Amino acid sequence: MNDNRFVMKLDVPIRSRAECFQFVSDELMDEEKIDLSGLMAEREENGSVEIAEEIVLPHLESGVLDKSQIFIIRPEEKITWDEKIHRVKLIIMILLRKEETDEVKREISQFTRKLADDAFLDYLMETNQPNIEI
Amino acid sequence: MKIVGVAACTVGIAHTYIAQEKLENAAKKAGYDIHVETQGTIGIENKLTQEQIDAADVVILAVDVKISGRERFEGKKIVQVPTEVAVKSPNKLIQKVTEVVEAQ
Repeated sequence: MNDNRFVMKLDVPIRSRAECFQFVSDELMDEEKIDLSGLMAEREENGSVEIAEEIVLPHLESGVLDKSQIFIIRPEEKITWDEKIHRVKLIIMILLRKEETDEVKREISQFTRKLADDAFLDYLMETNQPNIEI
Repeated sequence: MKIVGVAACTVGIAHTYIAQEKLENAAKKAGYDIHVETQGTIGIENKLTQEQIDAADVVILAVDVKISGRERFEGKKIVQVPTEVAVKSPNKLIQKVTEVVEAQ
């Protein structure tokens, strides 16, 4: 498993969806900033990203990404995501590189299957360890 | 009750697989036999056999996109919902499916 595939960020000082995307864009450290918010908008128009109370799962597949990563972000305080989703405590952002290998896609799909497990979601919401156990 | 289903979402990496797990867990909790095919970014996994489809009392399509092989379910009772419903309210969905089948 690629050690950089899953990135856990705790107590992140973000206050909104826009600040969340800005934070991740900064973390990607590309010379050219990626407009994650714009890229995500299309997916969010097609359905809610809320997967459980207090948890959102924004995700996209894009050719502008250098590698596929999953950012697991816990804001300092609960944030409002949009006009319908409030009090978000956990953001799981999947960034899938276009034409990613099947091996990596399977690694990510195994992770997303685990998101169906309430105990795993509780773990992600409560752990204080920056290195998560997937 | 025997259920077959297909899960497929827009990007094919997230809701597809959560929906599969949630449907399987909710159906098993209700004591039902279930097989869910995923049509995601990896392609088709856990592909339904014709035998499983023939034996099913109902088909659940938890889909946000057009799926391949929909004609396999012709003549079967189909309950179609967005993946969001399977992800957020799987037990209610299985209850609804139960009512649909029992009303037949």
